[in-house]
Amino acid sequence: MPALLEVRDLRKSFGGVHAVRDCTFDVEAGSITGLIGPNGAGKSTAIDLISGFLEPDAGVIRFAGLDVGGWPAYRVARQGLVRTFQASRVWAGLTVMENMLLAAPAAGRETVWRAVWTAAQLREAEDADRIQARAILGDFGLLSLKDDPAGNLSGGQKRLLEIARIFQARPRMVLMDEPLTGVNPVLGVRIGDGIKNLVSAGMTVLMVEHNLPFVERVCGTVVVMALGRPIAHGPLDALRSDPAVVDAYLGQVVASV
Amino acid sequence: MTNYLVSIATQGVIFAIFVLGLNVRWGWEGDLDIAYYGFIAIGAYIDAVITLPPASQRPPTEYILGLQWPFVVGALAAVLAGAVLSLLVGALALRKLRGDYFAITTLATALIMQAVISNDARIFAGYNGLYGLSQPFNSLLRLDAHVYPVFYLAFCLAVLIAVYLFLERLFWSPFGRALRSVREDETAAAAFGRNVYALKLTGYVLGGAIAGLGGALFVHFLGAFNVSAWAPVETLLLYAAIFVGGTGNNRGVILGIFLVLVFFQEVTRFLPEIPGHPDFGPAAREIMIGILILVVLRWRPQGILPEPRARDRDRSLPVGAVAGSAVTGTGAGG
Amino acid sequence: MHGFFVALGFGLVTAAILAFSAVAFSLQYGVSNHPNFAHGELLTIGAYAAYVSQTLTTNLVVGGAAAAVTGGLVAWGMNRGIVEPIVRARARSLVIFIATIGVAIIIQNSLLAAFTGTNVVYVLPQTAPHRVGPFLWTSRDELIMGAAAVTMVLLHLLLRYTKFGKALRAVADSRELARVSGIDASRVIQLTWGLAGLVAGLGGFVLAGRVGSFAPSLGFNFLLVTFAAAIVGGIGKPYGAMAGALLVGVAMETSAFYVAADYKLPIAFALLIATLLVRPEGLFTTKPRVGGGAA
Repeated sequence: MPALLEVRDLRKSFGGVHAVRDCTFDVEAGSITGLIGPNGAGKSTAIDLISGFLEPDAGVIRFAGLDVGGWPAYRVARQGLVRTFQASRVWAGLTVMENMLLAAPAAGRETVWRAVWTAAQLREAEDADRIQARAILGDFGLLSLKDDPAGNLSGGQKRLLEIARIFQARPRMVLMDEPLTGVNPVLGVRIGDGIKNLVSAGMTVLMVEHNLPFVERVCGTVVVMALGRPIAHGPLDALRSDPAVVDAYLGQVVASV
Repeated sequence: MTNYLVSIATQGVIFAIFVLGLNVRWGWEGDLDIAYYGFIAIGAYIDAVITLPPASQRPPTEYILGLQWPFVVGALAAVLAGAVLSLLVGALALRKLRGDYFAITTLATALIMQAVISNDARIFAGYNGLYGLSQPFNSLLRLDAHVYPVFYLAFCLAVLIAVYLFLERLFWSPFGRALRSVREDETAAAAFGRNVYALKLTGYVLGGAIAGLGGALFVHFLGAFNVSAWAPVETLLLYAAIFVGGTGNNRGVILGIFLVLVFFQEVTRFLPEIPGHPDFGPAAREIMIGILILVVLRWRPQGILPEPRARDRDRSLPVGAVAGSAVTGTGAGG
Repeated sequence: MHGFFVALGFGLVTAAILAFSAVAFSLQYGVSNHPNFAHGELLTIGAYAAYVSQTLTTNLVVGGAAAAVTGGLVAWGMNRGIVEPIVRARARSLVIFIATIGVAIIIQNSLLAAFTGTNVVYVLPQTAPHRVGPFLWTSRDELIMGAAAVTMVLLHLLLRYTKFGKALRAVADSRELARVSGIDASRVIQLTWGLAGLVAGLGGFVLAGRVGSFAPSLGFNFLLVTFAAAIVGGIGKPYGAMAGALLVGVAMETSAFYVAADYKLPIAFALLIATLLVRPEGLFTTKPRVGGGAA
């Protein structure tokens, strides 16, 4: 059975510099895969390419069998491939509950026409969303803040809101770009559990992360990238002694774990 | 005295409609549109050429159409004109431009519009203007000159209330929320499946349609249409109203426009006449608008009434099952 | 073909005037990250300063100096008094832009109240047009182009070889990086505004000399053309602005050779819009385009 995400020979350069090249790897459905590597390895670029925020120069990106390479970000998202960013991006001027309600792109609902003629129907459909949102917010300890502007949340709370939002959205796959940025270790544990719950709930996760102990705890398998291309694929444990990986990190892997 | 009050009130009501439309672009979408007055002008013009009798009966001017159709048709056409022009401008400008560059482009567009209109006298009667517009509905009602203005005020007020209710409903709808999420963080909105371009364009056209409607009402209030009166600078008065009253808040901007208009009416009354400087009065008025904008932006940029915050509906909605184990959740969609 | 070269000659003069304005604007926008809508008013103030000085002495140097100094002071004051406080209040870039619109209205209407709307006359002595190669120029035209060339060279020297110039380029490139390197970014910004005002004031001086008579709307009418040249050249790149001024100035005048003169301005605007839509980083930038908005 083909993998949920298939990346083949992906290539992207900026002004002559290859950020990503000969990039080929798979992500199996139901897995938590880490994307690791030294700085400048092209990890974030790869995420941008897959999620549609950058256009690839060449290569194929197949998500659930669909060729999504070159699609704009919103189209990719509507296929069930959602992402987070290094800096937490919540909608600051909107309330926490509104952030949750916006999690899933209900495109058919978000028109002027429906707002005018079927307002009552929309409200009822939304009630189901609100109930679910409350449950999720409760799990994350954010329920009491549901009517506060998301901008008022602390940095850690915003991170949790981002994950809560993903639970609400129920995508098929989530790309996470360094989810532990600016997060203290205690919160890091909660986020790790949250991510594992995402997978138990049926989603697949691909995450870029520098914190290797975290990656080891949470990810079942990793893809190691260096100088723009993947150089190894497998459980982090096994890769620790792989000479290519050690080489790429110049001893950092061994030192920090 | 009452005539004066009725006149001021009518102008205020019509400007309130303008400002509600502008608020969609600035408050909901977050775009600075300097060309807004152009959309009001196109609505006014289209309504004029539809409700006026044919050009040949009015020797000094020339213009297209001249169908002498009733006001309702003219108003609908004005709405359409504002919407279509917005679609054209927005389709180009919103595709790629944001923030400062978008604003500059709208300014360039406004000046191009002004140049084209004032140069092409054939279609737009150049700087001569159109005059003698009819009083809407009066062929049916036959009200005399004292009563008609009151009727027109009531009519405009009804339109204002309708527009206001429409916009309020939109603001809290999924569409309104999606549009505001685009304003807050476009990138995140795209990452969650929003077609930012389509949403912005819809909002932009909406603003243009309302502008057109306001233009139709305004031109019948004035009884005439003169191109030179529709300068980009007038848009600033509307922005001042939005800043003072409250960005994003429909009630706030209506409050703002009345405050600004009344403020200027009253204050300019006390300005001295300076011999040899006939421009002093209008210049002083503009200076005060500028100072007002600076003062508000420096000390209270959100305005008097802040943007209303969404309240989650509490009506006996249950909290729901624990999500961690709720693998079979409905997953908000469709 | 002869007429074309005459138009080209005019284009070079227009480009010279535009260079003052566009380079000043580009310098300021480059360090501040938000455009100054009141930039045009700096030219107007320079023009009126020159006019006032002319009533006292016909010395051109004094006139030019008056224009430059007034422009510089007003720009510096505008930044310290109005823009900086709003920036410190963490306002959006657009809100700052609107504030500069407010300043523009205040300045323009103050001039209107003081000098009335009727044109004031400012005549620089000039010889009749004479041939220089294929071009047809008066001594005034040559003076303007000469002044522009000298100013551009001085600016080049300033930016390349002085401490301030290097600090300016650093701040324009990346404010954070500059701060980390120990540069007092806000001081550089203040001085840059002053410099921009100085150059813009000079631009107003030559513009006034070119048109011969003007009203308070002088600078504002020039504003979009300035935007066009600066954006075509790439914001924050003074050399690009010079190139942009050349391109826009020549395009405007040579187009007037083919199309009615009324459409000179719309042509500049169309160039502006086209650049923004197709290549917003400017025609002369080599920076690669990084798409997407991701971190």
